Amino acid sequence: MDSESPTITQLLVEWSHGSQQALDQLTPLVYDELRRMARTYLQRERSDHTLQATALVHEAYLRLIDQHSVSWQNRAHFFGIASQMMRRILVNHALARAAEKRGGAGEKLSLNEAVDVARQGEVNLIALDEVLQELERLDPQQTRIVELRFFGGLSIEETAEVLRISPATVKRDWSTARLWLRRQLAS
Amino acid sequence: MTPERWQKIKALLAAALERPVEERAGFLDEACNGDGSLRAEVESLLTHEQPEDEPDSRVLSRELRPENFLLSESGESKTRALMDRRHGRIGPYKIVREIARGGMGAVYLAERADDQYRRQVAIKLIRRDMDTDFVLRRFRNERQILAALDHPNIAPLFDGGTTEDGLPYLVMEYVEGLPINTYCDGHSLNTQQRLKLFESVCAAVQYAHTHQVIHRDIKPSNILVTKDGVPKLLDFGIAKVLTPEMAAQTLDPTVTGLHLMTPAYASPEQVKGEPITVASDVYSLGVLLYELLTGHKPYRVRNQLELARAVVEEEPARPSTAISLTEEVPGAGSSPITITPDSVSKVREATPERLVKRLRGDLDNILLMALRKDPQRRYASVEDFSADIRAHLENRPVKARKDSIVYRANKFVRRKYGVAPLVVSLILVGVIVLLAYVWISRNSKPPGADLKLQSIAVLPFKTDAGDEYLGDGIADTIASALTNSKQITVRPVRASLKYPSMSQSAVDAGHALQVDAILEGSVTRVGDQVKINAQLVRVQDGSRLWQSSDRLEPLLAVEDSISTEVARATRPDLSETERTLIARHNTKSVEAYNLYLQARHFFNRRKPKELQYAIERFEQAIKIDPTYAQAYAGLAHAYILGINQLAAIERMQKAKAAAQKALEIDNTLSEAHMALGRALIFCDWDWAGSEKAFKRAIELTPNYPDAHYWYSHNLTAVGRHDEAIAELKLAFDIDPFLPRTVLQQGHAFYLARQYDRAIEQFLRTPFDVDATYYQVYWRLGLAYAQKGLYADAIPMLQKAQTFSEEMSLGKASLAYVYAKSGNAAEARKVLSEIRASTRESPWLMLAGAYCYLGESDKAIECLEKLYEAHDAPIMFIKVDPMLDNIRDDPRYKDLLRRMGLASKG
Repeated sequence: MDSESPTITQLLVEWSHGSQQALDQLTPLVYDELRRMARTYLQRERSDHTLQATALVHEAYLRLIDQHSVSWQNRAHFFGIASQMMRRILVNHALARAAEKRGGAGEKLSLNEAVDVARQGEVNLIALDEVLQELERLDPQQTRIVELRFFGGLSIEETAEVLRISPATVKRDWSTARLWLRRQLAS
Repeated sequence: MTPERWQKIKALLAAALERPVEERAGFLDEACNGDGSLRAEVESLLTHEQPEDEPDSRVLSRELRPENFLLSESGESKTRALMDRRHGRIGPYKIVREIARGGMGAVYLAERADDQYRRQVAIKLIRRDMDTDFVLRRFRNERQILAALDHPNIAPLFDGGTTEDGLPYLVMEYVEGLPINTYCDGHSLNTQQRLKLFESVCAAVQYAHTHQVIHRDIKPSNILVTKDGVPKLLDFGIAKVLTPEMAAQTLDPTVTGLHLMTPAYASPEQVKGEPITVASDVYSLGVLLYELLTGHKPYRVRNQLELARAVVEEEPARPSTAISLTEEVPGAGSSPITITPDSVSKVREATPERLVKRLRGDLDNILLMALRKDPQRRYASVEDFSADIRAHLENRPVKARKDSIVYRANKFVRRKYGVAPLVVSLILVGVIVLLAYVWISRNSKPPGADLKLQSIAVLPFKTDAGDEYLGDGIADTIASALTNSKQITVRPVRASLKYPSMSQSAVDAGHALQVDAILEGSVTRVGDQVKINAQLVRVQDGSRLWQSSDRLEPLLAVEDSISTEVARATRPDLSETERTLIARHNTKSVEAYNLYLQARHFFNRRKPKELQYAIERFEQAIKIDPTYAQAYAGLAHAYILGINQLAAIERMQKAKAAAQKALEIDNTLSEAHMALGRALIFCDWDWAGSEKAFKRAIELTPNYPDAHYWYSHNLTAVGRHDEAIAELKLAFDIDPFLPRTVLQQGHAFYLARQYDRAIEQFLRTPFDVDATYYQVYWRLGLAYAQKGLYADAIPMLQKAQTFSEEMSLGKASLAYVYAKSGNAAEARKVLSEIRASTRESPWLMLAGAYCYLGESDKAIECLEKLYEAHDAPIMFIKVDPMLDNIRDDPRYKDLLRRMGLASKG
């Protein structure tokens, strides 16, 4: 990273203090790093190394942020954006693979086949992304909560901190979103 | 749906979720106030509730678990396997077509490609997210038994294996036929014909039972009837292969057998996760026959949650009355089917009246006997069940009746009506008393009595300013006292420090700390006494289980009286010994007790400076009361955690002395046994004595996390890795909030050379304590290095290095990684920057670096320094992968011998 430009840590702190500009600068940096890490892990598959997506968010934090100069709130903010990005990365990845399979074999891959080859996760993920978009229209904050918890691996308390709402609200929104998502996915 | 509408639904849904299932309908009646569509929405969402839902769980559904999204699944072999399947192959089998698809995976019709005679088989391909290793292990155990099943009504299992992408599959005889219920309805079989067909099914199940095989998943789709009318049972024993029976066998507690069963046919013991016997198959056969004869299922429920409850608690409707029901059931597609008395009777006995008559009496009784909740009260075997059906078909008396009190009373009254009414009424009175007793014992226990609390957290008591130590000191002593109960898990006060009493709702704190109950309160000084308010709150519903208001007591009495009362309110079933230990007397000196509380207050904060304060105050307390055993124990504990001013060996010797003194006065203090266990290693390399001490501590207080934590170190050091990891899991379950436990879990995996699991664990370290971050970087770096991922290891260690206090450790680790990766020049450069002069030098890392640079003299020198310093890492030198290069060096072996770690023989 260019030593003249502010570090990711500085941007994070500034953003936590309300700077929208800092967020604009921060977002592509974090996104690139997450994508780079995701790619690295995918290339590493021969070494039999697997890592959960939520752990990846955590690791990105370790790599990018200087622990000395951030507070608990800054940490929460980092997870706020990183988990949203993680959702995009995972969904894009799943879509790309589905397209690749279709293109590569010159045949359309049926949903059944996709389910069959243990890419169950990807199929579910694309479906989840679709219903989350529906939920976004009804309740953006609730969608954020699902992202933070599911894609970012945050606890109830950490989620509350990021969104500056009470843990009780997080818990309520999470439990109800879970039922709603299940129903939409089942239909 | 509009956003406004959703807010309304969400609010109602959240409120309903907080209520027990049985109160929800009433609540919704009131809250929806006649708005039928609102109510329907909420109810439809409620049907998606799953028994394992917890607010804290990040699992969205069975399929959508965060851990399912791995970023590096092997693409290549999977693609190949996909192509295989698209070109119609699984292992050596050629796929003809897909037969079915279900929860466990897909079933294909296939034939063996290299077979001379082409035998058609059915292949069941198991879904990815099942535990593959487990399935295969189980399959290997079971296949011989299953292969021995040779019965005309059982489809045999031929083979099994794994596809290239790691999916297990099972190969079975291919049966062409219809599910038994579809077959019966399709052929409009009457009751008698259905019973005869069912008898053959029973014969097959009974045959398997005599070969020690229980089916465990009897349902219509597993019983196909061929066009010749022969029933064939599929999937015998498969459920056992696929079902982890004991949650303990898997790491994931949410994986229970129930997920894999078909709940509609599961027995109460299966639902409850209790041992499964032949009686479970009797029950499932009962459900099957119920459905065959009536067209209905035994229970009317809207979702799986209700079903599970009904299976365990509800009596099934009598078959002869069930057929008068009209209900909607899920159809083959997504549209429901309505079944009516006419529709079920048409394919059975022509009219509802005739069907009722046919079922009433014997068949009612036979079915209800098979469906009894208590496995012991069902038919003792499938043979008995089948014999009763035969008896009924041959118009002989059936056993099911003879067993029934009502039946006997009925007969009695009919025969001797008017002669012995007194006897009848006596029997009836007895029955009523019995029922009433059952009802009372189920419904009217005082809150708390029926629900035994498993876990509790004590929040720091609220105090006046300046008296904070009193608040968490009292909380700590109460929590420690409660730890003496073997049945309650008590979160250590260091975990609850973030949630002082009255600063949030007790229910919120309880959720955050993941406990069943919260004890909170306030304490104020009033002269020599203290005024105490305390309450015990059940987290599940916020109800208050016990409280004590404005009680004035001498400070010394508080701990005893509150802990005793709370223990009683939490667990009415405590043993006498546990009670005595909880109410154990401490010191008679108020002054000593005050100092002790202050010491505990500092001790729980665990920073070096505060540990020093704690040590000072424990020592002052001992000066005032030289018989204060708990103060000695606290002192010993503080010394093993370490303060910087003392060399490790000095600390350990002081810890040993204090622990022994504590035990002389009171040998039931597990804290002292635990500290002694730790000290004996570093003072005397007395591994046997140490093990004994830890075991004694654990025996006294199985729920004391520190004892498990330190004991695990011993186990790791001698290579008993599985036991070590299990001990750490126990420590973690009792106190999931302490970063050091999670880190040590990772380290234990690392030393057991399970690097992927180690990495996963390090990344899970809680965010709470910044100081641990240096450790996370450092340990991750080393784990990557062991995997040969140097490009990942080096930046991590560089980060670790920036933490100024630990600079030399970070540097030495870097040197080790450079050396290991073959970059000797860089390794030497980093080594030259380290001033290896201080006592705290990173001797182990240096030794590792020298090992890989081929300088074994220097490596041994470093290890000798480490040995002299008695620094903690010395403990693990026998298993540490860093030292693999000098394992054969006689000087290294001699060091192990001096440490009592040389292998015998």
